[in-house]
Amino acid sequence: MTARYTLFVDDDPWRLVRVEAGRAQRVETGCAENAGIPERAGAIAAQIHDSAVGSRVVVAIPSDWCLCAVIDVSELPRTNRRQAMQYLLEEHLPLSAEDAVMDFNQRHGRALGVCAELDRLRPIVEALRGADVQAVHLCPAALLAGAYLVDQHPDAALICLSIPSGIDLIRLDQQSPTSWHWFSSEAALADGDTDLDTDPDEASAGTCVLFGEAADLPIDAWVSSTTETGNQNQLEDIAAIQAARYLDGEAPPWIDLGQDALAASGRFDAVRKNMTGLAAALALFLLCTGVMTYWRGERYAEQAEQLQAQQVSIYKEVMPGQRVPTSIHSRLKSEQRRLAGLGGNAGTNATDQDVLHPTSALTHLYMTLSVWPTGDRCRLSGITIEPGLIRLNGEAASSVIPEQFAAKLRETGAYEVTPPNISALSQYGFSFGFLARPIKPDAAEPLATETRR
Amino acid sequence: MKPEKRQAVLVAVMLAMLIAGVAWSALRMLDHRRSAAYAAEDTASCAQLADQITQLRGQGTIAAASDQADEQQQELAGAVNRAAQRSNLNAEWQQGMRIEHKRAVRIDDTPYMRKPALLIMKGLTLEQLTMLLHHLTYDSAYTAEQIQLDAPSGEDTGNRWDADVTLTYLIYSPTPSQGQGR
Repeated sequence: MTARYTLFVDDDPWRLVRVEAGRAQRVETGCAENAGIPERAGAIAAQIHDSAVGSRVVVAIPSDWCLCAVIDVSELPRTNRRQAMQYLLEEHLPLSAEDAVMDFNQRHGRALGVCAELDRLRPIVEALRGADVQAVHLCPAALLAGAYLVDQHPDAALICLSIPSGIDLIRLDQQSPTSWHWFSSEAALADGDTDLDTDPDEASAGTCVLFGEAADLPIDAWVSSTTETGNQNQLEDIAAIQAARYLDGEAPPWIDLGQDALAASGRFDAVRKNMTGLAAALALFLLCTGVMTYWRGERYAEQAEQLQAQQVSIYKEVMPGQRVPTSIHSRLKSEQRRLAGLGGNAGTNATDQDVLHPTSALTHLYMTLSVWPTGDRCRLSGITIEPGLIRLNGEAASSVIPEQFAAKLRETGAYEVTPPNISALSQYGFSFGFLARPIKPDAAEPLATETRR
Repeated sequence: MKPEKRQAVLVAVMLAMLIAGVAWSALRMLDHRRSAAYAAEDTASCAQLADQITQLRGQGTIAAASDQADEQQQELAGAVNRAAQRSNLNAEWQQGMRIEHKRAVRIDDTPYMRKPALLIMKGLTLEQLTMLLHHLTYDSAYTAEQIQLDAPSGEDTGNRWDADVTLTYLIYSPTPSQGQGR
């Protein structure tokens, strides 16, 4: 459970009350009685920071520091309403609006305006702020106690806080304050002017919650019944408990003088410095990262440009006099493929090479004629050399000659030779014909290498 | 708006802008890094291709480019004449010589086409024919694919032959799918 702190300030030494689990406990600050405001704030901060529960407090101010009045706000416009209320309240005060800090509790066209001197509260708030303590709310202690009592007694129409330092009378309408009077003593109350007895019907309608010593207060004249509760020593405790509720955000304070110049900066003010530092560090980190990545990107861009210039240089060297294309790599690849194609190496395998470069018919002619029998005992009448087939026709004086010719051709090992088809001629000799097939396409040694250039 | 809230909003906006700036810068850096990596890869590949191109140019060719096919066709007659001169053939033989060009045919599924031309000659001796064909096909793109020799009928022609020789040369003409690179 987080502890909540309420700081009671006045001309005496300040008191710090801690509320934890709904129980109030006075905290000794160890500050000297005659210490200045900064020293007091420092001592308070030391206690709060030691507890390591945060540095947000409610500052409870004494009733005699406050001035109040009830003003009619029914005719005020909605825009700049607060400013208008300040000027209306100013008419009832011995202070100018600029020198006071004000807050209002509005109800049914009327507003209870409460103010305090700015010069009295500002040093306290700034001293606390300087000690890293955030004054989240500045509330009259009497109204803090009153709000607590209203919570305990919802039917209360009047709350009377009677303690040695003074008497507070808080008039209520449906649990909301409509007027507030403070008197330094019973005598002052007797001499003072209140609105409590101006409406007898209203006065008799509710219950008075009396906190402290009743003494000789004319309560019966104001209300029909009285409930006594607590004693004067517990006033700060119940005020602190109510302040803790405000810190927890359970309800807004009736009156919060932490307005305008004294406004709390926010719930994160306790860690504002840390957050500022974090934001600055983050900004610096992002800035450095951004600059570094930008610089690195530039280096990469330069590198890419240099490499592209290198490609242009390579292209101009290998393709002189030609316009540099957009895609150098594609153009070079195309040229390489074209040249490989012209050189006979364009994606062809070994089988393709045999098809592309068949043995020349001239080689077969040479091979055939090299084994042709010499002399005039035979003659060829026709030679046909096609891919994979050689056809020979002729005439011979003897039938043995074609047989010998075929045998010699077979002996070369390069051809498969069919037996000669021999027939006798009517007048003289024999005609013959036979076929030879290369055993392998490249079996015959080429007579001349057809190439390739 | 309270000054503190305004300050917080300003800080948040500043941080958001910084984050956006860093994100932009980081994305830009990654983009340039990718470009540099591609460029390095391309440059290495270009250097390799340049070496291969230089090497291929030194190796010579066995095929004509498709856009050079017509030129090659017209060149054949000149090549035959030059081969004839080197074979000491006189001008008479040219009277019976004729060249018939045939349609190019794709060789299987290779990126090459074979372009045939029929060379019709009359009255050549075997020696003249072999010399002619040797000079014509040696160190050139032409190949003698078919030879048909017929002895002239009738009187004794003294070892002279009528020859039909099919010469072929290759054309490099890849199909679109074969020409796709990279």
